[in-house]
Amino acid sequence: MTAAIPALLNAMTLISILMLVGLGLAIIYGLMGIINMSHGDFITVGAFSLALVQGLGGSFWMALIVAPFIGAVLGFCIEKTIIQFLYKRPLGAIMATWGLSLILQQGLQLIFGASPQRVISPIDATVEIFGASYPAYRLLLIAMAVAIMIAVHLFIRKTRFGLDLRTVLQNPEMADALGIDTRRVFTAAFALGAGLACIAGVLLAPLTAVIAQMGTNYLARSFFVVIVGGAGSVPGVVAGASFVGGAETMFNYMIPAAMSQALVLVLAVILVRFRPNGLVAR
Amino acid sequence: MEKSQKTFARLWALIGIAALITIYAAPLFLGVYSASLFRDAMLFGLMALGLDFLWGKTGVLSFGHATFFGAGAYGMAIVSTEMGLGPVAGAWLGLLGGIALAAALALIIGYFLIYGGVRGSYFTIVTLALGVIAKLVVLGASDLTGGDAGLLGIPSLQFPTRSGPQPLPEIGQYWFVISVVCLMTLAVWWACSGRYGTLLKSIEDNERRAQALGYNTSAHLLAVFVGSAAIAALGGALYATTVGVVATDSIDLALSTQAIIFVAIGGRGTLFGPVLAAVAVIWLEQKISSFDAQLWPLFMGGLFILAVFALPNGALKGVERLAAKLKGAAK
Amino acid sequence: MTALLTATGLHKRFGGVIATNDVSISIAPLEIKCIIGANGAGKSTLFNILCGALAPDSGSVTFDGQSLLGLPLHKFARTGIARKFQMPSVFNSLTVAQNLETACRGKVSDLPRRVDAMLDRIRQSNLRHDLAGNLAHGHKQWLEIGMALMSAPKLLLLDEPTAGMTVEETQKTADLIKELARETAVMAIEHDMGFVRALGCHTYVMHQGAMIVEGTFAQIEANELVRDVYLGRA
Repeated sequence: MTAAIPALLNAMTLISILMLVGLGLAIIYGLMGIINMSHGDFITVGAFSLALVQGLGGSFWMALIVAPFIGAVLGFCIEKTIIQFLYKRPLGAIMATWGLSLILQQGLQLIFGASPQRVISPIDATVEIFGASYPAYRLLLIAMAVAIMIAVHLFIRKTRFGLDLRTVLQNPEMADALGIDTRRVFTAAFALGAGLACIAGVLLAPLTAVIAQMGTNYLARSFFVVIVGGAGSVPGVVAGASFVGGAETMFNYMIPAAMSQALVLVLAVILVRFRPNGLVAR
Repeated sequence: MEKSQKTFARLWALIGIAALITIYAAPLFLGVYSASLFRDAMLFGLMALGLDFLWGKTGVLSFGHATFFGAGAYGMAIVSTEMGLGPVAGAWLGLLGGIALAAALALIIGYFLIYGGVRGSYFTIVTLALGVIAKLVVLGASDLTGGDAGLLGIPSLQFPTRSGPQPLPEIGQYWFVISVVCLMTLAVWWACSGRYGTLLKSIEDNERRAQALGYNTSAHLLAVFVGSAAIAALGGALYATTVGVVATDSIDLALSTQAIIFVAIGGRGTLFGPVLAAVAVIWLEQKISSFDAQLWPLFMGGLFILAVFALPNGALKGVERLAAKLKGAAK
Repeated sequence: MTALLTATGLHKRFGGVIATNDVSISIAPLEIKCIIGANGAGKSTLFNILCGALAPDSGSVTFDGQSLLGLPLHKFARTGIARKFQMPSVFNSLTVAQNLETACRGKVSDLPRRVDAMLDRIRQSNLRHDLAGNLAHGHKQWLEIGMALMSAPKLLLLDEPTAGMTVEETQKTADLIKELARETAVMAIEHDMGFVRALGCHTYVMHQGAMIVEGTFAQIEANELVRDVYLGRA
């Protein structure tokens, strides 16, 4: 029994990370249909924001507030200069955002250097759960992930902006006719997605090496979280993250890490082939 | 109209012949090092050709074409170094093995995806995952693939001579490689000129309509996918045998994206364009990297964005359009 | 005369809505027939069943003695039935001539001649090098009929071929179809009475999913029930 608890918590940690990295993409890809190849780098920007804020003497919590603003501003600028011209050119969007990803990665490395950035976890303690000790930060991460998922879900479901967003994404022409400024909604949604990715970056930074290329690790998995889950809804992200994270943790106990990641992606491809609308169809 | 078209075609033929002579004569005035760079770039051009056969002719974008280049390279390396064959048989069987491995992979994956109705950006993302999976598998199966370190000592292709089988001299190798690349490019171009090309274009345009005309579009797409993978694998296998080593950068996601940039810059569907673009981009990479290695990724990123906005049809089409404009002005 | 295509007892429901209710029709070689009915009468459902896009809940469709149910789209197209959908659906990025070439599947020795003949027939010889995407609506419709004919079908199914056409274009289309009937049977689903009148062929009338009357056009026009539900007072 006690051996099962850490395994379960590990699975929940990974699922939480995947939920966080998938959430921004669920809006940008799942709802707006933009295949954003620079999504992983938005996460990196979040992690670097934490390093920067802490380097300037700020706290983890301050970074958690600053990072989404940095992400939103970045997302705003990118949408205005590049993405807004590519809504009707999906392949063009893939290529442009990939180019952007290369520039962001190399830019970060040129500015901050190639060695890992120093980030400090807000809590170092471990806690005893059912006789097993577990890092408290991971529990915090799980709690934060759940809170953020609920907040975003309520935001999309209950607020005026959320309603506008859903209207525009379902039928832009109709939304135009209703007097909603669709271009502003698209810009805001992209900025929101980028901001959420930066929050994810801050939260997972203490668990990983913060380098300019860290986002690449999350790119393919973020896409599969969204596709496997389906339709770019918050419940879809939860389902997708649970599938990818749960399976990966399980395989990790049986086969080497690289192979288990590969196997999960293979499973995800198979799942997408048979359930193209994902686990939680809209 | 007809007559000016004829002169235009003749002009292109002349340019083509002049380019061929230049390419064949290049090592004589470029020196050995530059020529070997050019030769390797041509092999990456073969991967670009493979991708253009798929993306340019049917509109299906694969974001994991390095998987097939890498399958060719690793297939070559494993057959020639780990099967206990001699260097002569090993190299030639490795070439076949690499291509067969990639074609088999493409057949399985393609059957599963294309017959399952996976198209458009879904196909692109799934192939992106394939590239990631392929690299993870190579890292995971380090007993077979050498993991991060890769495989060394891949033998060269040997040709019969009076004193038994011998590897080609440097310059012969260069001529062999560019001959293969030119022949493959011509072969794909020939296959896609005429009705078959029209059919592929009709599938890109409106697949359901083509089905309604009685075409088994999935079968055609699968055939092109496998062919395109085999061409990329030929590039990979030849690369492995000329360079002698293979490592994970031959199967990396970054290489897949390079293939896309070659096609995008060279002009989607022009076949010759992507091969030339591969050479030009790799040459540019050398120039810029020798200046400052850190700048290249920034340039590459800029090229992607430039390709999307400034050259939506590729550089070659841009030149063609310019030429057409000049012709129009001359009249 | 033996029938070329026979459909019997076709039933199809969507949820609570009965789209076709025990519909039976047949057509013989080189015959022209029309199916008319108001919007929602079940015409499109019937068309989709006949062209294999939709499976009926019950009933059978046979063509040349072979059952058509459950065939994949590309195999269906090889049976000798050609369809033309309501919205023009040509390959916009190909030229008019290439569209016709592509429509002719397999190895054909005298393809250029056949393309020329068809261009002449649909009166688009002067447009052969134009991109189909740049054609006017009526020309797209005729090109599509031409494409359907390139496979030398035994039966041509047309879904509202004159939708969106002017009166003059409708008349030209009717003339074209009458000409075609020397080589192939034609089954047209139509909304426009002017077109059916111009064809003057055997006609079925659908209403609320059921086939209520059939007969010559003159009989249909004179039929009280048809007048009530469709032509006039409805």
